[in-house]
Amino acid sequence: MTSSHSQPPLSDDTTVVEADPRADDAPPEATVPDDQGLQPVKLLIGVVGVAFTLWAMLNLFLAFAYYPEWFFNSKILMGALGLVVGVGGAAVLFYFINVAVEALPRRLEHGLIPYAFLLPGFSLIGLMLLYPTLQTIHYSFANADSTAYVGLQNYVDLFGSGAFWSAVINNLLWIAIVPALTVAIGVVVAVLADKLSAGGEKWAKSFIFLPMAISFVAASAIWLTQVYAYQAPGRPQTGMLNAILTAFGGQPQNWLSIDTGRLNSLLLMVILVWLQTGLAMVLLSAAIKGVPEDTIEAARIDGATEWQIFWKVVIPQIKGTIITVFITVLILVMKVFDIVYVLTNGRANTDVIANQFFNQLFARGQAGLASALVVILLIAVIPVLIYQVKQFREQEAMR
Amino acid sequence: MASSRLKRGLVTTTSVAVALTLSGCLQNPDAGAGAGGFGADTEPEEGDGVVTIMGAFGGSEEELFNASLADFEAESGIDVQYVSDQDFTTNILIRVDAGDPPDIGLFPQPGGVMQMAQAGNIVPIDQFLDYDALNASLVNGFLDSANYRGRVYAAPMRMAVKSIVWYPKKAYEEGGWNTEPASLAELDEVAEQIKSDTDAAPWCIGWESAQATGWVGTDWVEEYMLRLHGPDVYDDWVAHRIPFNDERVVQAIEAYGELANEEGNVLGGATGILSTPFGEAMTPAFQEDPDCYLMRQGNFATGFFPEDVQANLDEEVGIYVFPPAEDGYDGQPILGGGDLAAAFTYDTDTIEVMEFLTSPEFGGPWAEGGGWLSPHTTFDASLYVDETTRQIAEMAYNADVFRFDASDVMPKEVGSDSFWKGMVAFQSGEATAQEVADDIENSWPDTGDAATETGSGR
Amino acid sequence: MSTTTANDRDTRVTAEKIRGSGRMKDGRKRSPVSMVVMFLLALLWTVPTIGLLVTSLRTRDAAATSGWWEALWAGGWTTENYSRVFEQADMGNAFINGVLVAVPATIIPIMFAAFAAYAFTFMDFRGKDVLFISIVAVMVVPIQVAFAPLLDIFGPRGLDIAGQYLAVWVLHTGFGMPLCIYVLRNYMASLPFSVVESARIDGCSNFQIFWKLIAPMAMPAMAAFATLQFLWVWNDLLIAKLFLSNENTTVIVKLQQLLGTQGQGAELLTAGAFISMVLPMLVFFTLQNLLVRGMTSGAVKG
Repeated sequence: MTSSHSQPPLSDDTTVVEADPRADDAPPEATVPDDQGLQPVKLLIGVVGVAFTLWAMLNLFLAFAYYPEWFFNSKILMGALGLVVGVGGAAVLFYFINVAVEALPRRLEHGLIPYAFLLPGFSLIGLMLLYPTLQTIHYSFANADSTAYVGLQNYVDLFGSGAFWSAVINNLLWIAIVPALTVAIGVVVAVLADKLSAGGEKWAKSFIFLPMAISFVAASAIWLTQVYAYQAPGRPQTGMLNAILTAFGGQPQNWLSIDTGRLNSLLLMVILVWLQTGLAMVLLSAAIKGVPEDTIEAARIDGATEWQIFWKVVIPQIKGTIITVFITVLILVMKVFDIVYVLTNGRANTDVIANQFFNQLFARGQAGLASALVVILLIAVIPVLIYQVKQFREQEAMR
Repeated sequence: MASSRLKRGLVTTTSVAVALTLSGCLQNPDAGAGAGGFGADTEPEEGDGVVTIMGAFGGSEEELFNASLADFEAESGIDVQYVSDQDFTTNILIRVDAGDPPDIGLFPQPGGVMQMAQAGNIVPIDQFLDYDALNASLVNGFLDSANYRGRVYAAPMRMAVKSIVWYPKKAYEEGGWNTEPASLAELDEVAEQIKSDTDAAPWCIGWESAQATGWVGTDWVEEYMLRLHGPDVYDDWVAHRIPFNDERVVQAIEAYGELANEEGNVLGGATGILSTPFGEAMTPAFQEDPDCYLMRQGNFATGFFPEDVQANLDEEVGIYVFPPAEDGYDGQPILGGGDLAAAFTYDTDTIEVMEFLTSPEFGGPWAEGGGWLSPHTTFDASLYVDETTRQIAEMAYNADVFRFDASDVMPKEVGSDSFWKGMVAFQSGEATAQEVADDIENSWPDTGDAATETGSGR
Repeated sequence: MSTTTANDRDTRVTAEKIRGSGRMKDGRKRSPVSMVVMFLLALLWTVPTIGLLVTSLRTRDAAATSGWWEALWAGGWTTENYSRVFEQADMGNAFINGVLVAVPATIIPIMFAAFAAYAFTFMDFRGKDVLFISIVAVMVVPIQVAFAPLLDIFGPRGLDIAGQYLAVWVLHTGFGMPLCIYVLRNYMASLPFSVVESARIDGCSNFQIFWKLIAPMAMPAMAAFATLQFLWVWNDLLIAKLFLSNENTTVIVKLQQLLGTQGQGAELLTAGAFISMVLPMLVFFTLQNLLVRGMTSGAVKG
């Protein structure tokens, strides 16, 4: 019953009260042999430990802000202390949480410990993401400065605007192309790199990874000025695409304004694939390293070709990671905005929902419409959520 | 089973309900309005010796700004801390909403000043500056741009002049073309002569400016609005007392179209205009054999000229004012802009810094460093780094009328969004001038008209 | 896509050809096809970056009038962009700030997320699906919507820590958490459940199981996420600009502050982009060692 509470600290309190009499006269549950029932001292240590750790961490962190002179005004000292206290404090915090929960009777402990492990992470997510998300959903039914309700007007406006549907089509294109392409190239790179010598792998992966080290905005600027740039016919071209084209006698093109077949959107996607292949490679490579060598050896002894090994042995074992990477990139694509913002800001039919969100919120100050766009993104991600949960259940059923 | 499912449902509902209650409050529509107690009779607080300033410019401009304050800081003992933010317009709003504004904001757009004035976040300058003295020394009409409901909330710290036509001096003078066209018709004549005398296009136009592409186009339309219909219609247009799709606005857009879309008139044609970075537009004019000759652009254009040109500006570059129309407004209008200083706090130090920033004494080192114009006609012109800059300053001081860049005054939904995008659509041929004007008119926000009603006054 | 099909043919050929050919030090077969394909991919991926490097070493005028590939004969080389970046911005201080912001903001979320991921993977509890769904869902929400409420909490009206490292540590920890939990939980799901089961039977507490078994086994995923989170924090502009005071601000913000009103000085950003890339690449090189075969495979096989 206690486990049905979603807030462990509350449950802690109620448990102490309710469980006390049991600790005094009820014998431990016979079905759980090593259950010692409630251990008040241990519980006390745990609870006090949690409280003290939190208090100490919070105060030390605030002291960085309020009394820098305690730390000789040294940024490096504060940074180092922050790291040590942040990581060490978190470990100590979890330790005491564990102690406190373990002090409870077995059955309660089992019910509570997952929440105890989730609590610190989730309170941050709740504060910083869930709460603003709910607020955004709420504001999507309100006016431009969120001072009065307008019902579904924002949604009516959106669905009635051609720009919105154009952005939806582009978003669908991005979703259809970018994650699949990124994962495909990522798998190829990860597999091939795995076959190189240690040094070769390190270098090859570093080069693929290089774009990841560039911020989105800088990357967009690079492509705009080095690759897609346009100069009037007859002038020396500074963009590679036009230079190649004119070298073969063509006329220079203003690439990002060609929306035939949404070519310009495709050119923007290239940038994201270029940037994110590194991410796919890093995660997939880690997964491939985790494929037990003996399964591969066994297949080899059975006479399988490298190709068969790849499809029948490696891929099934890294399928989970492939899906992780795919969905990570998918979510990134759904909120992609920097690239579009810098290169075209949605001109010539290249707009995407996240860029519209940004423009509505900051350029036009339309908080209502901007919030509605976020809600649309949230609705659009539902299929992913359903799939995730299904996969979740399957994984657990397989155990 | 059923009960556990029910329980789970209950838990979920409860937690969602709790979260909704937390996030379930609308914003207070009156929040901030009139707050801050900047009443006329309030005495300024005692300053703490530090004044923070936020502005949109960084790099070498920031260095020169700081240099211009160095003597003042040493004398007054006030520590001025400047922070630059390229997204000033957005981030100043966020900072103010969070209750963490700087002491002084340097607004590149009067629209932002209006917004702050409406919310009661900034102190009217008549409360602590000598308004009449300011008004007397400033370029005519400059203070109007910060006028909200009869009170002025900001004073200019820097001036930009946009109505300048630049040409490569040697090549242009070799061609023997008119260096003082007195009307738009004479300017067209020059263009025709260039076309017939050389293989080059007369005009260099570049609009590309990443997410802000289109602003160069809005400047062009504003120039034509001022010249064809005069400052009064211009003010009506800016303040939305006439609709954006008024036939006179359409006429101004078309006037630009006639210049830009005539075959061979602009280097690279429509594609060239849209995809050439505005900073590189004139680069082809400084070659041995120019590909184009004329560029209409603000005084900041010098910062983008090739280095050898910058090093020798007076010899390499010639300028004349973008001339008036013969059958339009009778007089020489100048389109410009500037950074407006507004005070978020009301203390003695802030006032002292504001006084200095908005005085004719400010900016000596900046003028010597180049790229800066004082909005004060009384500023010591001998301090300007070169003859070209002095000429530009003269243009503004002698203008019959000076008007602030309309797109900076209009609501940002229009001025920083639909106007830009509309001009791109017009230039690319996707829409006619009438369609563009209709679209922009539709994007004009219903509320917020009040904010700009008195924006450009008189 | 075409790469995959090309790979199809190549690998089959390779399998036959390389039999008996050279072996690497660790005994694995050398794979010439992999070498060639990887070389080409690496080259393709690097070309725009090379363009950036060359442009950062050219004058603004040269970059505007000729393509970077023409630099060899068109000239216009200069190191002025780099020297000006260091003259105009206090890069030393910015680098220290960047590191002091990024390192805790990378490691702390992993700490919290690993426990949460452990709970999601190896424990059963009510509301598990709802909580996990909410994690994936909030990932799609643009973080800009969170700025206003968070500035209220961290700003002068709240804790008054805006401007300090602390605010940014907390923010990046929070914003990075969903992805971190997601990545770690999916990786942990691939670990053998039996190990945990048998440890439980042996009487290990969850805390012990986590520290002694799962955390070491999840090291590659943690290292992978750490790499990504570090990059994200390092390259972040929005949060740093809003939540860090000017003397605490990071490299990326300092670089952006090199721009003038109309974007004058953009040529410095090419040099700046390179300067800012150095550290992330070093981090990648270092963390790469954690991703290499052998270190963890023994544990995973268990």
